[in-house]
Amino acid sequence: MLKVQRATIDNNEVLIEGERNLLELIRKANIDLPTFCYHSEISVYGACRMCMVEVEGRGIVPACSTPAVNGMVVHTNTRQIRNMRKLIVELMLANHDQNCTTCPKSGECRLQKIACQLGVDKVRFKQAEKLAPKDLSSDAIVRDPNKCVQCGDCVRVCQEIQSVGVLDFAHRGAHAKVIPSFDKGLGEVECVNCGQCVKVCPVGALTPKHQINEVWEAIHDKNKVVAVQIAPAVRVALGEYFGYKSGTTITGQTVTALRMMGFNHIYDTCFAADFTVIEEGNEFLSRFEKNERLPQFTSCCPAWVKFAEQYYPDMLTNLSSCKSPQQMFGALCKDMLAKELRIPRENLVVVSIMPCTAKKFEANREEFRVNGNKDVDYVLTSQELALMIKESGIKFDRLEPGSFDLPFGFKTGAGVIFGSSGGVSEAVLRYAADTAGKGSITEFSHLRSDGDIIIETVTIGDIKLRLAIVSGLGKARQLIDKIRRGEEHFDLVEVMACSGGCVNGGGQPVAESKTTVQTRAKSLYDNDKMLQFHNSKDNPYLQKIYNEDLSRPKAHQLLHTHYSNRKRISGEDFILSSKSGQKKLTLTVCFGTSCFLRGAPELYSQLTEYVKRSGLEEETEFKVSFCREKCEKGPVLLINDEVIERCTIDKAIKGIEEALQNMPRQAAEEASAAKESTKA
Amino acid sequence: MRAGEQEQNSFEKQTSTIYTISASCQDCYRCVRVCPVKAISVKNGQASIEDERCIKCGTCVRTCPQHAKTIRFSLDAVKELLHSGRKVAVSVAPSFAAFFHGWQTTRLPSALRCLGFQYISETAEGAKLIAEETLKQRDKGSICTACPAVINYIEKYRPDYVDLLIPVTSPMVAHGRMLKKRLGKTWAVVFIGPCAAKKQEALRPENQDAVDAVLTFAELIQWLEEEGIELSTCSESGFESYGELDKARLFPLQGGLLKTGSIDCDGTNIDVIHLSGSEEVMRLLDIPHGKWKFSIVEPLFCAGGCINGPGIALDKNIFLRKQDIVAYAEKPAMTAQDIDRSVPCAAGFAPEDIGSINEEVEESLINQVLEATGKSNPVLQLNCGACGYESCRDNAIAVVKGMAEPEMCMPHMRRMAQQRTDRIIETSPNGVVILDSELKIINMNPAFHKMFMCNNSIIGRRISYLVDADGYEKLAAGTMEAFESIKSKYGTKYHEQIYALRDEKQYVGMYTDMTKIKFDPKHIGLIKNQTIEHARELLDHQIRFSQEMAHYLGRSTAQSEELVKRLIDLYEEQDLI
Repeated sequence: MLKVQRATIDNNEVLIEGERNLLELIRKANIDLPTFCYHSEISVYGACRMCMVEVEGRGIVPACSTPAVNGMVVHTNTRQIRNMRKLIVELMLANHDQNCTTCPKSGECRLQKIACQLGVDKVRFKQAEKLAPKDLSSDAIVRDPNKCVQCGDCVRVCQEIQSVGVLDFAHRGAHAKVIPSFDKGLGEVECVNCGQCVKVCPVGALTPKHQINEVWEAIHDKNKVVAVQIAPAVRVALGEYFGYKSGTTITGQTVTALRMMGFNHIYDTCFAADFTVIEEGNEFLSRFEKNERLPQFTSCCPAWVKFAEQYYPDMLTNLSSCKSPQQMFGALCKDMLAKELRIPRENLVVVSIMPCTAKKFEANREEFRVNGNKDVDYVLTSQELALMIKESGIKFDRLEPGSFDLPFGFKTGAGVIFGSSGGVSEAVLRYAADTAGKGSITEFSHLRSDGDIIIETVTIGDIKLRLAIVSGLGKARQLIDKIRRGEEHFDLVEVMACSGGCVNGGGQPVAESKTTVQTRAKSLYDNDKMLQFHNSKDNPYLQKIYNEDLSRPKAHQLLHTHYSNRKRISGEDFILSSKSGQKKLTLTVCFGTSCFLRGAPELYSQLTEYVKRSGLEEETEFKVSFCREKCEKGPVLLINDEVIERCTIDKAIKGIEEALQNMPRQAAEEASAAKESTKA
Repeated sequence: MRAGEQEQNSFEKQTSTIYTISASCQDCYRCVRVCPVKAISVKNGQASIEDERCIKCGTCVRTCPQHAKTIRFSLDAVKELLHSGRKVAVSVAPSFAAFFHGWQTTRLPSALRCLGFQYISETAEGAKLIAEETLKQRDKGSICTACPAVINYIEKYRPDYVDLLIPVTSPMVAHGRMLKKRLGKTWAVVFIGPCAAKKQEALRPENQDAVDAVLTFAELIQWLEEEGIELSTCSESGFESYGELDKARLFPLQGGLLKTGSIDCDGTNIDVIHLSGSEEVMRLLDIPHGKWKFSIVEPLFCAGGCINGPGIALDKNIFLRKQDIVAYAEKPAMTAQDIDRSVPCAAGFAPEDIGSINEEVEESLINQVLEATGKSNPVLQLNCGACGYESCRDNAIAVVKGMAEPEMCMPHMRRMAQQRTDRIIETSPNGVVILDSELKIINMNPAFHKMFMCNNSIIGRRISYLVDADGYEKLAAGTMEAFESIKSKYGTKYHEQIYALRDEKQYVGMYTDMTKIKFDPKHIGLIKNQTIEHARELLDHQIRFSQEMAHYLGRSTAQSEELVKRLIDLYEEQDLI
């Protein structure tokens, strides 16, 4: 017989029913213990000390990291604990830049809320005097170190959930702080901009980089026409800012609000998603037929794309070459709408409303510009749009639903489900199944995921497809490592950086529980059900554009992109020695961990000796670089721009000699080229 | 009901298309009055629809102030259909745009998909085909209509006009067939519209293959509310519509069919007309065959067309509804395919024998009814219409046929009621007198005349002229509501019971002659108490008198005199006992 386990919490007896820790048991007993660092989906850390309770016989312990034990007698509100909690908050506030009224987190800040809840009415400690500069280096995320309460939530979500780990604690004691490696900016390190840290940050230390003012400027500029696209996941979450239940579809009201705010053309990203389905579906069918570059990875998620560029450069050819729906939309809109309105491209401003911080980074990528003009000029997160609507004084819940403009406002259900994990696969499969033979809307519904990896074999006609759906980059890494090791084979892999997909994006309202995210996803599938068409190829406006406006090369130019190996950390190489003589030779040795272990220091010392011996000292510059992203082929040496992998001193000498031989010829060519240009 | 329905249609419960909820029926005859074919019978004050006579126009549903008339409820049947695993398509009547206007038109298809329907289409597709087909068959008749109530009316009541009907079925039926052909035989089709008659039309044997169930917009709205589906938070989406439907979406308006068929009709044409409303339709069909010169006529039974159908209760002004229909029809539609024109559209119109209902009734039976209701004299036949019938004679015919009751005649019933109360007063052995606010006599009964030896000539005199007015004065002063006493006058001992009619500002007195009745001890007690009361009043009066000044003297003296006199009278009574 199972023994019933009980604990006494503040004089109430509570049954222990598998709670993971004392904190959960206390919350079950209807006591809301404040915490900064406790999140059920990431590891227990015990950093903030807000959840301290007194356990009889054991003294004061943090509830989050104490297991609930039968017979425990717990007090959560003794004088000592109350004073302690207040003191902690006071200390936090003393270290905190208290410019609350102008903080982007104001109103939703947990420190603000807890200080108010605990009745902290004064801070007895001197305010930290010097403010550290804000980190504005990232396109997506602003880091304000003066707001950090060092709960470590961002550190753990980035490491544990996303397996990226760009943030960590540095220094000790009073000097401890949370920073990216080498205290570089977030934009200079391997941050993929997914924004999950922004979502868990209880204060204003990590916030989306706002573009609200730029968008207002564009709206107010009489010479500019402003078109806006709304991503699928926004429509089922934005309502949460205006008192709607999570998952309520408020697409129509959003359209009306945007029109009231002065946007000229209001379109739907789902329309572009329909294009993505067709392009990605065709790409997949063709690759599958030729059995090449499989598995095909989806490429809609910009955080995943950057992740792949950084960590899996060898698999970049497996990524679909399709742009994401946001960028397809931008390219199509700037091309077609500008022509239709007969305005220069520069006067058409494309704004997108996204559940995502990484989309801000994506819009800034060099690949997505024409003569320097971006395809998507500004990206607003759901959060920013809510702020703009509130700023405009619009009573959102009273609005009559409006209609999208055509043609870019017409979509099929396949375009809508992109916002949920599994949605892209389902949409592509609907198209592929239909193109290859048979299929219907519900056939692939078992691919709908709320965050777990789904591995399935799907039968279409007589073809069997093996596919994987994964969300959360940590899980993606595990899966890809298996693929690399040859343990798994897939034909199609969908990766979304955020657990559950875009509905749980870093720019969305903070979801209190997993259920909120699930409700949003369910709502997207309901939206799909409500729509007239469920297969992207049935979109009549899309057919029309393919037939009338897009030739095959043009479609490829507008709708596809390429990826490149990306250094995980930016910055100049270190110049080790440079003499004043005329430089003929630049030798750059990679000193990254892998190359270092594979013999880079030895190579360097042999090289310096060789240079000295050959009398090239005056003409040689030595540099040390960090990673060349060729770790398995280390040590890596660069002779001028020539890369030599698995370099030995013999290989290096051979390379240097070749370089020196080529040099006079190069110099002569350069000289003649210079002459010609002066003539001209 | 038609034979074979029961077996063929398992999804519609076999009740009448329109029926009365007897609990709510309050015997006002409004339904009888508005029913264009007088298909409503009244038994024991309860109205009920005679299904055989009923043309399902739904006028009574719209009119009944108690909402006691209802169109057959089909929601359960439709839900069952959806649960049965069959794929269900829905055909939405074009009048929907009058009820779901503006932004709602692009949310309704989404809401329907939420309810579980898998294909949402516009009946206007069928309307387009019907209009074309009607034009092709113009030589076969001159009456074209999508209105099943008009068809019912002609088949039941104007059988000689059946031949003039162009034998083309309705848009609903054509569209049902079109959808089943397009989607496959296994699909079911549910029609949603504003109409009651469509529920019955779908059940006609020749239409069994077209539509599986019919809902009204009222039912749809109820269903959406039950499911918590709000249009404002539904996705924007469209119908799965084929063909250019712009004009066909005007079908629910008067003249919509002609317009779709591009037949010019601006109201000045000699041989082409469109009309709507029961009165106009009936008047049109009053035209004798010989004078019927029309080449094409489009009648609709509801005034203004289907946008005024009984399938939804709506406060919206009918002209605004019309505007919304036109606005919706002007919306461009993105359609790649055209409608399939190969579905059968032939109609099976035939005169329907509704038995003895139209038979003549013997004159003597009519007269008997009129006589029984006191209307044998034509002067007394008011033809007021309160019973719901046009004339007293029509009502009498209905009574003979068992459709009506003599009690439906209001003037007759009033007369009867009045006579009955009058009789009671007239024959009462007790005297009754009614006084006005100034205590002047308005009315008396014979018993009162006898008791107080007077006649009607004293009407208008004050009551004090006849009897002691003390009690009435107290009533008039408002100090009491009723008063009871035993008094004697002119050698007559009587029991007086008086009360006030406050609303009418009248006073009623009831007098019982007690001269010959022996008092029991209780009565003696009453009298003694009265004596003591009077004595006290005298005493009070004396005290007041002594305190007040001389100018009250005259009045006071008179009052004391009166009181003393009353005392004396009382002692007289004692002597009598």
